[in-house]
Amino acid sequence: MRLAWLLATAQRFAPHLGMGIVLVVATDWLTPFDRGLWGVATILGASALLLLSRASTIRITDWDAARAAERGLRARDTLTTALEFADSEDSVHQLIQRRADRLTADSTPAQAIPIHADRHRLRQLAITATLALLIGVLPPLGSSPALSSDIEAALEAEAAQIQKIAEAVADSDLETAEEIVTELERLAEELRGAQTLEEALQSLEDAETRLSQRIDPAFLSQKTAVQGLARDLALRPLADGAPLDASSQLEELADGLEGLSEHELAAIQDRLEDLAGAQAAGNPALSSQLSEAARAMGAGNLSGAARSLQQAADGQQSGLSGTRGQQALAETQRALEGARARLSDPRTSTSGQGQGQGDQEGQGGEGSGGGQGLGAGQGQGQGQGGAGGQPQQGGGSGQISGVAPGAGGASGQGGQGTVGGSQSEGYGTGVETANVFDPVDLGNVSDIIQVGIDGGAGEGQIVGKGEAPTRSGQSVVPYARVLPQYLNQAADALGELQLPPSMRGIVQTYFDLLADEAR
Amino acid sequence: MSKLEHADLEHYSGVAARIESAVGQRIAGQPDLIRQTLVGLLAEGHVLLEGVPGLGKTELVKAFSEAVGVQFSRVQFTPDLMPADIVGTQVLEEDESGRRRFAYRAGPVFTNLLLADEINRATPKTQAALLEAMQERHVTVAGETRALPRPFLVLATQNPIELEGTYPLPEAQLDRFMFKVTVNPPRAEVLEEILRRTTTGSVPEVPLAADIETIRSMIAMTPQLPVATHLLQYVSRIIEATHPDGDTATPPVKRYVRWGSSPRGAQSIVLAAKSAALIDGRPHVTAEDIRWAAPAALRHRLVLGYEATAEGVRSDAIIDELIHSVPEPRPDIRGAP
Repeated sequence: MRLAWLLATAQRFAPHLGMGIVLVVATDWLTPFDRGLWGVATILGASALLLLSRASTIRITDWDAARAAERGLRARDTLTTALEFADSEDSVHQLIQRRADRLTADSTPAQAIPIHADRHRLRQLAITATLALLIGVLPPLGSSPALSSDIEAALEAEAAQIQKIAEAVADSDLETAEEIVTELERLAEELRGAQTLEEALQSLEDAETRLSQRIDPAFLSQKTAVQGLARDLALRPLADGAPLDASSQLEELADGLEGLSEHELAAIQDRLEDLAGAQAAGNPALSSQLSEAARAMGAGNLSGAARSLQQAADGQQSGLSGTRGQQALAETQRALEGARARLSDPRTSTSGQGQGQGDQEGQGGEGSGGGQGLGAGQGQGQGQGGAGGQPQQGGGSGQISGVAPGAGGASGQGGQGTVGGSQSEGYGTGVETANVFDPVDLGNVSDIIQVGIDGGAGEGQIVGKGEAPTRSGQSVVPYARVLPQYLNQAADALGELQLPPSMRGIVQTYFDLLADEAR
Repeated sequence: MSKLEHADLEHYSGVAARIESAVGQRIAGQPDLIRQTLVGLLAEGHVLLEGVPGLGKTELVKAFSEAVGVQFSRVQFTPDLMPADIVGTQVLEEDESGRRRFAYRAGPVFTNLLLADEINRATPKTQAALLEAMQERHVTVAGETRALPRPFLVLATQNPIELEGTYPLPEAQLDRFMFKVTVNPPRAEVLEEILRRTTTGSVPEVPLAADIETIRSMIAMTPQLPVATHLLQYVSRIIEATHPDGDTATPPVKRYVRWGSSPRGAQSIVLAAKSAALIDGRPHVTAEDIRWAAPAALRHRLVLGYEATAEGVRSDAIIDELIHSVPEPRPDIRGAP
């Protein structure tokens, strides 16, 4: 009787329960409420508990049982009437009792109280369950669509790319290598496990944010200063035959001060003061050390000057190392930004390829290529050198994707030819392209700038072109967002171009002012 | 304590079956009509037969009187029919000694089975005289009350389509009838059987199925059958649901019914259900007996309003809906199997 009651009641309320589940699932689907599964489990669990509890405690009287059995045995009120008229002395009552006994004599409880399947209600339950299932498998309304095979492949490609970057960074001796690798590996894992495109994009954005928080705000100034000093000293060494490395030059100078003539000391002093001036904005500590060395030299305090030069050498070394680490963070952030842009709007993603070719005597080519637009850039360089009149081929190629909206950077190291008197031939790509967003004239067709690379004297060939916001559209890149990118590029350019330190200071000050505005 | 025995039950159902069979030899294709009339006879409740002329109403009553061997009278109700024509009157008589005195001459009401043909054609005064006899089972003439013979059963007929020159029975008087039975036109195959029986120049004989004493004992047995409380509750709920102001009234009742059934309607249902159970040979009443008896017991007890008349809604449709709406008594457990 209890089991029959339980099943009958369950069937009775099944359609309502189904509708409740549909409502929960629909709410989950239509609104930000994302506990649909939890809600369904709660409803089912609570209903089952309530039903079992009620079935075990419900009071079933004899009359209830008789009434239920009358339906099963088709006894038509015989049992309930017999129950009511149980007077054994009344002849009619006895007749009723005998009739009831006859009806129940050969009956089993299962026959008396059969368990019926209410087809109508079960059909309703099936419909609501199907509806709930259909809504459940649909992606949430207003969110990213479910991962299609294309998006899944794109996510896998991005994850693989990020994994490669992580491996490359892990092989480097960067100070920030460990944290970048950890971040990238975690990101690659998240991308592979993302259930929706939105989730993947959120992971990318979070990783970008974390990386950007690790970038020193003064990084660009430091980079300009450090690279400027290195460039200056490479172009105009402090002494003839000095090594190219700025730090080594300063160390060598510190060690060799005693052997310099007064004229040479005076020239070095002037030079150090110039260098100190160029470093004042980006690296005040180094500037101060160089000024101190110059002053000590002027005062004839060579040992003091040597100490200051040694400190400057250490500072430059340390600055270089730090700058490279920060540069790696910034590049990684840009790479993630590019990945996010590609994933958010795959239709605008194009691939570009830059290839340059150049000839140079005695030195292998160096090539780099830049991707354009939102696509992946690919650069390839090839160099060939010869020695002793016999051409020798130095092989080497680099390929790395530089990805960022509107810009891509890549570099490949070509083969290094043997320096010699013989004629050698090298091929080096000499093209780096980037889209330039004009913060004033928004939406113009992107310009492509070509920056020559020392390694190759040849002309570059642009074989790809990216897309940038058009005049009729709106700029999609906020000014504050692109500024660091251009600051970085400007810093790179200043390091590459042969500009006097004073001119570099002007450019740097200009960007510092822009940065202040942006902040 | 009832005195019914198993043999009594068998006897009751056996005699009833014989009566039905006997009447059925004259009346073709109307088993439910015969059953309802028989139930009226055995529950001693008057029956109003409604149907167009020529459907065999009068023949039915005659067949019954022949089958049960009781006295039978027929009164054709007309507008000039007087109460005395029904209940009898006093006439001045002179005895052997020459003395004159008023002597009572009994009317046709003093019979066991009275056929009141076209009862709605008589004036209300005459109708009232008959209806008093129906209710009280006695008549009073010149200050003297005279009991009617038992059993006393009035089978009245009325034509539902000829309203001109008729005096529709007031609700209070309709209430005296236990059943109002609608006589419907026969189906083609039944009509064929009627033609076969009635066009050969001889009328089928109705054999005697029971004598008057047997009928009296069966009438006495009927009320003794017990009815379970939940079935009495069921009847009460049905009656309650016929009242438009009641909480359990169905929407059609609320809309079309002006007045619901009286308690006499409930009594009629229960008595008819008892008789039906006994005819079936059962020692107790079932809900199905109640559902069977309810339409005939209620259709003349519902006073329909103007909307029902305007929309052509008949009481049968309302009762049918009502019976399906009022739930049978069930265990107090929701969802009980």
